[in-house]
Amino acid sequence: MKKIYPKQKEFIFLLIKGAIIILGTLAVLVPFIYLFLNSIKPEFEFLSVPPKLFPSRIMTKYYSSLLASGSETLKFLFNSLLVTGATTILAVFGGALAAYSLSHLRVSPKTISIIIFSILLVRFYPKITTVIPYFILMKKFHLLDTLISIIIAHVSITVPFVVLLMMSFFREIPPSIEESAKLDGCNVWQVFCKIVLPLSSPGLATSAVLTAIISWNEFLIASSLASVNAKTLPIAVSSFITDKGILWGPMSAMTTLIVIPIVLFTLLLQKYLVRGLTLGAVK
Amino acid sequence: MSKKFVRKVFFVTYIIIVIGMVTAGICFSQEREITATYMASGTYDVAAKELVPEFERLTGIKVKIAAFPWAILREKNMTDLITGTGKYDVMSGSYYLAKVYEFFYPMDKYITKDNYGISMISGLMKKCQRYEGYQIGVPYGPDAYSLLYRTDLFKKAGIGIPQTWDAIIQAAKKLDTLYEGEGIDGYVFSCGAIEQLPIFLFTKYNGTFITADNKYHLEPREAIQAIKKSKKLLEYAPPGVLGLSIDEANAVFLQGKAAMVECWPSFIRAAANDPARSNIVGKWAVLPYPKVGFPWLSMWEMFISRYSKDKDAAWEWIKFYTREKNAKYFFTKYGIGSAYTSTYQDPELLEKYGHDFPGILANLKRAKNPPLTGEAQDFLASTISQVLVGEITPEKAVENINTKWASLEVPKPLIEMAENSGLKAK
Amino acid sequence: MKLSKFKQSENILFILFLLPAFFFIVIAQFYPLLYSFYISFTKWSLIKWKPIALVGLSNYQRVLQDSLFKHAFKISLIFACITTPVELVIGFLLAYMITGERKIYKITRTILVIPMTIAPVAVGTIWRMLLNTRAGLINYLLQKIGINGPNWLATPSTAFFSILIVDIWEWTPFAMIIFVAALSSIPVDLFSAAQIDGASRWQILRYITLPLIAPITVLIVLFRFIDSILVIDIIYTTTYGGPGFSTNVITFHIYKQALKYFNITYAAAASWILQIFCLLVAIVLLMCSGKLQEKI
Repeated sequence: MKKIYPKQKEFIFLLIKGAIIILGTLAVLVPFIYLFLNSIKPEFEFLSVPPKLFPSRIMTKYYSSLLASGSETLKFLFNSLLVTGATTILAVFGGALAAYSLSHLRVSPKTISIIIFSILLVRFYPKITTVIPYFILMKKFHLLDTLISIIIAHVSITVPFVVLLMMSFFREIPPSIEESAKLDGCNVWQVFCKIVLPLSSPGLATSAVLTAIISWNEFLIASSLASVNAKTLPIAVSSFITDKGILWGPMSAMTTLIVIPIVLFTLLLQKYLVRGLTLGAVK
Repeated sequence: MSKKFVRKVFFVTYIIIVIGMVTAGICFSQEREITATYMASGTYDVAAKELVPEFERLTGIKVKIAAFPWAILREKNMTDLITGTGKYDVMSGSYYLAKVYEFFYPMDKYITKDNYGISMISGLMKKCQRYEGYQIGVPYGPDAYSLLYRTDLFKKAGIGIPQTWDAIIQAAKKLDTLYEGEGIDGYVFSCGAIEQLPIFLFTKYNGTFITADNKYHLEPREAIQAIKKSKKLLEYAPPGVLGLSIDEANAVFLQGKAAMVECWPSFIRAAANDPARSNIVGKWAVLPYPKVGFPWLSMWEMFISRYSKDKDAAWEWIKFYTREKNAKYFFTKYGIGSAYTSTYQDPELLEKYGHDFPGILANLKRAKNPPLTGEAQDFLASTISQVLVGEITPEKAVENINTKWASLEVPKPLIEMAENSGLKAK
Repeated sequence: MKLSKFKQSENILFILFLLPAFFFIVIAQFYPLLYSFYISFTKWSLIKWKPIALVGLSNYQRVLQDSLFKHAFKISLIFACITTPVELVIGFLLAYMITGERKIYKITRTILVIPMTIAPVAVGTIWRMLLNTRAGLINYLLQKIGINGPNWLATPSTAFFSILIVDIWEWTPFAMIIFVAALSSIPVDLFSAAQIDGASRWQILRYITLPLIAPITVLIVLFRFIDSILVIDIIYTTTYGGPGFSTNVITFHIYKQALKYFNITYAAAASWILQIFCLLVAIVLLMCSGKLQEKI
């Protein structure tokens, strides 16, 4: 495509491209490098004027205190893993089921639109509205400060997206495949499990990736429900903002810990992430 | 039945079992156990956790410590009470919890039974929170905002102890010009920590906060001059002063780059006496506040929730945490202010801290809790911040504050507190 | 006849399939939403923890007359109106540059996606460090080129500018990645045909590319505009609404009213006002996108 254009203009364009790529990459990477450097610096070097960018000596004490056996961070990590894991499983299966149902339900298109609309509703309002009523509800069931209350809330936020995503995947499955399966004697459930799900496994993977990221990063709901037992990692980060000021060292270390899993996750699974986002919007 | 279906049934059963276990666990816990909230500060909460094993050994009561940053602590305490959750038996807080005082259990009978608080600093127990005549909180970690100053710099400049705010401003100006070459400023404050800004009003304002008909209101002339003087004083502060956090402002003083600092002493005194952490050991003291307004009292109190299932256990823990025996230890190890006079008269401590104890004690005696709800105080702080960054004039600020305050409801306990401390108009 | 019976029982099964998802959504979203709607019309007693009177629209009146609410709403609108187009333009620019299968493009895309996958709380704390007046990297670099960096988070104007930058840094990748997908889905033959006809790069861009991605662009606007209005996590960790009230965005304002001051009825009414606004915007933009899609 590019070969037909005049060579000079092309060259300038290439230069611009290169510059933008480099600038963009730097803009993304530099803050993280800075974060990491701060987490291994002695604290006063951060506050000193002018600041010393590179640590004079490497201190791992922030990390070691965070990861020490008695520390709460391991509990936070465990909680986050549990919440994210359970949310992903429940949201992906629940969402896939619902999506399958919506794409095969024999009702008027208007009803389907209404259902889809109400599902979409969830995406576009301030979560703060639901925090206190949800809190009261969880209290009635003695589920305050439990991971279950957080999981339920997280699933409710992510399921709509999964439904939309999976619906677009299911649409691409030719009805003839399902028809022939039915003719072979499979009931609906078997068609779903043995044929539709495997065929749309990329969609499932994508939903899983997106759900996991949203759940892992969620702060508002988790912080209002958890007090002692159910704290997750994002809450831990904000706890370093104390009244005296910010505990820069431990906070940098904690933030790095939160960021690394997601970064690795993204790098490894970026294919699914990209696909999910684009399909979710492209419909 | 396909394998997948079976798996799903298992999964659902699993969830139901987990929910069941959690509910059961909550219902069937037999041991005596209480939960206490503290501010996550590396001081109060850590001290509490340290005491837990010994307490359990002595009384058999298990204590869970729930620590949160200040803003969240307030939220957690209030939500717990308002929703009747009863998860926290003991709560740490102060006057800003006034909206929920009715949820706290009266402590008078415990106090009389155990002769509690007799050897505390005089007047401290009186400053504790009350509801309908009952005392609902007992104090720990009292701290009074103080002005610290560099004795050596003052001496070299030939300045005596200033007695009024105008004199303090003059001193700051003189010191700022005199030591400009050495990069030392006259004054420093953590203007970046916006919730601290009300101190500018409290220590310079000689007026009332609540009108005779129980509405929040600042006397305009007094308030305006207080804000104006604060702004003037900041002219002799380092250029980035508007963005300094408490730690950063304290660091400026500790590194010797400011002649005066206004701060919570508990945050700074340990480092200020430690040659490894500051350059000013032996060169500073507490500057007595001019006799205007009042120093801000930060007195943590422990309350017992009405929803606590074991109030006696809660009281036992409160007594244990605030034992006179702990006062000196907590002070030396964590810098937690002591509520007991004995600590301030302890010979060993006097030797080390004699230069600031009298000043601190004097401020503690004069210090008051402002009778403001969280919303009123936050608005005050944010509006003062607007003046400092030059967004509005002091006159407009006081006008805005009074307009907003007029729309706020004043809780009865705070009205009573204001009456008792002379902050309400007759 | 057999067929319709089969279809009926199938329908029932399908409805069963819907139940798990709906269970979660109803418990954690619909019920609280409806309850908060109910609360917004009542006077609420903190002690009894239930409404004690129906007060019609007075809560809504109170909210709409509150100058702080209006100010917060204004700030949020300005915020969203700036971040959305900026993210669109930069996102498109980046996407235009790095769409394609070349390895360097793929790697760059992967790296550039990272900011939007990290917890907003983490983004906020990272930028709080970067923008620290005395010790932050930004002012350090500025000083190296002789500029005295301002008090980023302590002056109202620069504080607002700072949260704009943070949001743009965090969410431009979102726009970029969707544009990449949209650009990649344009059939290559269209380009080849245009090139053969002698069209310049600019002409191709203007007459082919842009019109084709218009519907997607509207969708991006929808997501980013509403999400910008609803922003709270980064405010919480960078400026906490200050200095003064310069970064007191609407969701943060409601958060403080609800969980800090416990003005429950105010918060309920305010969030419903916000919600209706967002819904209207969403509906309008969705219809726009639909119409543009039809044109294609």
